[in-house]
Amino acid sequence: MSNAISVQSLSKRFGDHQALNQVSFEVPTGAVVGLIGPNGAGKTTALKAILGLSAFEGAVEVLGQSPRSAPHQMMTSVGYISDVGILPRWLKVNDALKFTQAIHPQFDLEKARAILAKTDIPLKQRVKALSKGMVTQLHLALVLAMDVQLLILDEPTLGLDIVYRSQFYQQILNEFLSEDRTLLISTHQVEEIESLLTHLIFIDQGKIRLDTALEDVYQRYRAVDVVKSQVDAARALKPLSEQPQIEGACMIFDGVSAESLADLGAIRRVGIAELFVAMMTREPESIASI
Amino acid sequence: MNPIKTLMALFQRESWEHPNLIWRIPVGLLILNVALAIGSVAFGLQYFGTENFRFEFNSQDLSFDQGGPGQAAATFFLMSFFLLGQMVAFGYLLSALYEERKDRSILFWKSLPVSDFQVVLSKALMGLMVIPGLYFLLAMLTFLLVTLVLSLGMTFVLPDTGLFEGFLLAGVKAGFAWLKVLGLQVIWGAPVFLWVLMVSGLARGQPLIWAMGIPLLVLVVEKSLLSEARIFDWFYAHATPLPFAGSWDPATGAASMGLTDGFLAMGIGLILFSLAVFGRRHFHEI
Repeated sequence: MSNAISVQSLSKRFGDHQALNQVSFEVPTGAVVGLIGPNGAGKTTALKAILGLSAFEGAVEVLGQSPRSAPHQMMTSVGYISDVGILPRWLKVNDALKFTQAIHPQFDLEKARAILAKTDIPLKQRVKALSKGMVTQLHLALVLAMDVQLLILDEPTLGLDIVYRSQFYQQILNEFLSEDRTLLISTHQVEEIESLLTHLIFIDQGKIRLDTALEDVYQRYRAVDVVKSQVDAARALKPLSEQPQIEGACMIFDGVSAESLADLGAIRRVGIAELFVAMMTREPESIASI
Repeated sequence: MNPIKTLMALFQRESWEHPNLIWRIPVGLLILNVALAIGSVAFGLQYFGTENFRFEFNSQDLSFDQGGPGQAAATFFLMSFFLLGQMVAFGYLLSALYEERKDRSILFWKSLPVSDFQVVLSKALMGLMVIPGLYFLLAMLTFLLVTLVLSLGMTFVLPDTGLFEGFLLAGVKAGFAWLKVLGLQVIWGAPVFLWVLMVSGLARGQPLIWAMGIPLLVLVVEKSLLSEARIFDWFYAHATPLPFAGSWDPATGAASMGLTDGFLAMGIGLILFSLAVFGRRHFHEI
């Protein structure tokens, strides 16, 4: 499988702050990759480097091209939605469609109109008169009608209510995802995209903490609702995390077989959100060795 | 994509963002002038009547080939709209690359397949040529409409209804002569306007202060180290619109510019344009 994105030894420094430190990862074509990390982890910095929006050290290749050499050519095949509404406030919805059609070779005006017809967005309205959710819907409609091969989303649903968030990802699922299209998404709301993901990257303090296919995560990590009487036995197996419960504790184990855990309590599939919390609350040094 | 089609779309985008500067202000001035002309005619006819007030003179008096009221009236509108257009272009260029970084919309524009060169070119052409060109067209239209209104009004009190043809022709001739002023001003003003555009693309705040402050700093440094401020004086001369820089004859409408100075202005303009492209490429949201 070829890679839509290849990042090798990516580093970026802002003054004294090392935002990214020798970060390397790959995003296979057709994958849906979640770039997960706490605030200030380096997610947006990494995405901006991938989009050619900032200078960096290291090597980045996107759809076989260097994002720094001719970013505007690359953007014919790449779509991007940022964490906050970046559509200009003075722009009318109709004009946004008209402009994008004039400058984007693959833009399908009818498709954009069809997507917008399912929303409450008035075509004659300016962006500043739309709600935050509507602005995101409009931006998504523009990007979906561009027929891009790679979509990069940076906290796209930040500040949206649960209905808009749900609709947003449903639309991505229905209108964008296919075998040859790649999605790289950075978000805090991990549980909302868990069902979409094929790959997972945890990033913290400018370093990659976990980079794996989702099926491998479920093979490697297991969550167990340990019964009270088995808590000490479970601790002996060195769980990654332990959350007290009314009757026992919830523990996440790394690389411990299902057979070894069977007597401790109910084994269930680990959630991405709880795995993320478990890994981020541990000392970085101990995680680095995982 | 076709680069001309992209450039046209970028011009249109600017007109959406700055409708007041680009067309509402000059169209408003046109309407105001025409309304004043209509008001003057109506008031004149009402006040003096048509019976007791008659002009008696030859139509030649109103249509001298050089100078004369036709040329003077057209030049009045051309000059007023020109000066306003230059100020508007200055203000437009000062915010052209700064505002998109300030409101972070640059992230949206950069997510589209349009190069930094194309964007900066569209903004430079908008400030240097499109805005002055639109103001010129609206100045001429204002002259024509005001002349039409006045000539219609005067038909009530003048025996010769063909009187304003000469007036009109002299004005149109002055308009064509003004086109040369506009063309030369693009080259003459390029260093200053593109300086402003470059500052707009690089400043992290207060672009006006940077755009004015750095030349003043150059003046202070030059005056401190040398007896004369040659760089500042050259820049200041080009900050003065060509008609006021001693290269325009109000009587004939003739304009000129030294060849060496013209090439120097274009060369410096080109360097500043390249720096503005570099700025948009590397300086992002503030």
